[in-house]
Amino acid sequence: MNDVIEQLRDARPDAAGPSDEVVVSARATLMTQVARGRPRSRWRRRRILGLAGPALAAAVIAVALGITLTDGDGDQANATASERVAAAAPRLLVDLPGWKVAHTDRFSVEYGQVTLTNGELKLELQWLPEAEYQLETEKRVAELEDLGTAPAADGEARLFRYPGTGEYVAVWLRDDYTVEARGRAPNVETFKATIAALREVDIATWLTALPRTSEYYPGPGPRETRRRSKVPAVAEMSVFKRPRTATDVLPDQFSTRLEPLPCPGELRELGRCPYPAGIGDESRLLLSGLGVRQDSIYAWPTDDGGVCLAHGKGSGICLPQFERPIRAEYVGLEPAESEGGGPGAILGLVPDNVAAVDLVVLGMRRPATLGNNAFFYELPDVSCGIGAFDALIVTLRDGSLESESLEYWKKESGPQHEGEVPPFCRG
Amino acid sequence: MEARSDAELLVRAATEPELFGVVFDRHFATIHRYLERRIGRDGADELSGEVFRIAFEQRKRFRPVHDTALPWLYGLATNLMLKRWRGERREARAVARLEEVSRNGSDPGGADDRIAATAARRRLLDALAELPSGDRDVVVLIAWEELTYEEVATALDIPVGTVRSRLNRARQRLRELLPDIGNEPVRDVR
Repeated sequence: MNDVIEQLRDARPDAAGPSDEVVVSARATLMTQVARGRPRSRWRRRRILGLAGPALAAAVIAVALGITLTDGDGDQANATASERVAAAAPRLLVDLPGWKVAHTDRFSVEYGQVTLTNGELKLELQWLPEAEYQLETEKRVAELEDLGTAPAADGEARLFRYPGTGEYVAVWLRDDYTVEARGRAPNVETFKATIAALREVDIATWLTALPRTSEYYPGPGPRETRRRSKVPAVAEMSVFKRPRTATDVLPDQFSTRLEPLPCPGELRELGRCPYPAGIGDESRLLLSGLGVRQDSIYAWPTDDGGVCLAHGKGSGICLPQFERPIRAEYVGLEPAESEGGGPGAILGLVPDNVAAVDLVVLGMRRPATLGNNAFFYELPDVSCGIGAFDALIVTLRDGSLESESLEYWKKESGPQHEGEVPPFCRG
Repeated sequence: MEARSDAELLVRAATEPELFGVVFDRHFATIHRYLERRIGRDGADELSGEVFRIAFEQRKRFRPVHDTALPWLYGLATNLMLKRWRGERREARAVARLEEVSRNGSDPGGADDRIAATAARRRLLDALAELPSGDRDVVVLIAWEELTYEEVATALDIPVGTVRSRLNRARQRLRELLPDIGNEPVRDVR
């Protein structure tokens, strides 16, 4: 007999590994963090940002480097990507004599960094999504000396200084971006003069000014890719296309669920904020008169294309899209004794291409009520909790089946020993 | 090709952060596959990038016990997975999805057949899920990721003796849960 660990080794699930898109996206995000996360030691600041005021004197912005955008397939692809990035990103250069681009980091429509220099001074210029402005400024307010505001690239920047140093940071909004400029200067006036001289140039000038070795993220930015990779749930639920009636209006107990949730700092840093807000004016009543509690299921879209469901006193779920392998989003209901008890139930949302939903209850297959992109099934015995559910089966309109184990509910609701299970639950 | 060891790269990355990209290139797919086995592909897509972002932030905490950074990265992935997924029903759903993924479309039968066909494999995975999370991590890292005891100790930040005792305890528990495991045609149900 084989050792059980050997058996588990043989049963190791297959893993396809990451798609190229995931690798590229993760790497781009990481390297942007790398670019932003350079050490803050005094030595490093001096080495990177040793500014000296008097040298602001000679030439003009961009130095034409004679870049050829069509050398070979790789360069062609990079050229295409570069044009896409250039069309969207803030194309800022320092409009003072002698300034040119010294270095770029691999960047995308969403994130990028350009280091500008005049030979003696350096300015690191980054662009980030507009949504990160609040986080960027809050971080600076908490950590740095707040110097108020200063003109920057035709806008107004928040200006900060690392305490006790000559390193300055300016943060401001420009079009759809948060722009950040960082540099070391002998005094604040020098830094202000530098950021005030930032000017947006045309695409050709900008691309020509960048080093030939610049790498561009090929396609939309990582977050844009993520957003586009899945169909929003609302697009797959025709219930939202039918005319809205008086019965679709949300009862008062659901109104608080329309507000976006407060976003904790960790999620903000992961770029997952803000939470979507509900669109109450588009709510629909999906099912009503359900089970012993005569429950109703309402749903409404959110401003990011997702959908929220609520029932009973207002509990529910939200989903951005229907995922595979099970095209249903659901919750289990196990009413507390303090609320009068009652049988366990399951309810949820399905997209248009679902023809039937069944539950396997202790080995028996039972059909759920399905309508208006929602389903509901209540166990017939009041003493049967959601631990009686074995699996959820979704039948698609093309006849294919998807199933998902609900075994974990047994663990959550406690073991159902034979002697404790009512007759129905024993099947 | 970059010839320097992970340990050397991570030490140098403290002052030359761009070198961390080499570590990413070496190990991202491995960590993604580990997470994919444990929480499904979507979860792996979601978390594997974060593992490397955290690793970058914590690169100065890396202890060069091994030349490879993989044990350390496995540990970060495990911690992140548990932190982000533990206690959520998504974890249990992910296990169920894992079964679906591993079946890989080889079961064209009806719904009841589908449920029955995964029985042996499910029993193994269910038994694995029954283990305390610390024991389960040890088993998975050894059985699926083929780490040595010493590497598992590094990954989970526990003594090697604890790795051995957890593995023995897990083996005993799995035998209790699966007394006939030697007769199960585990591979046939993939």
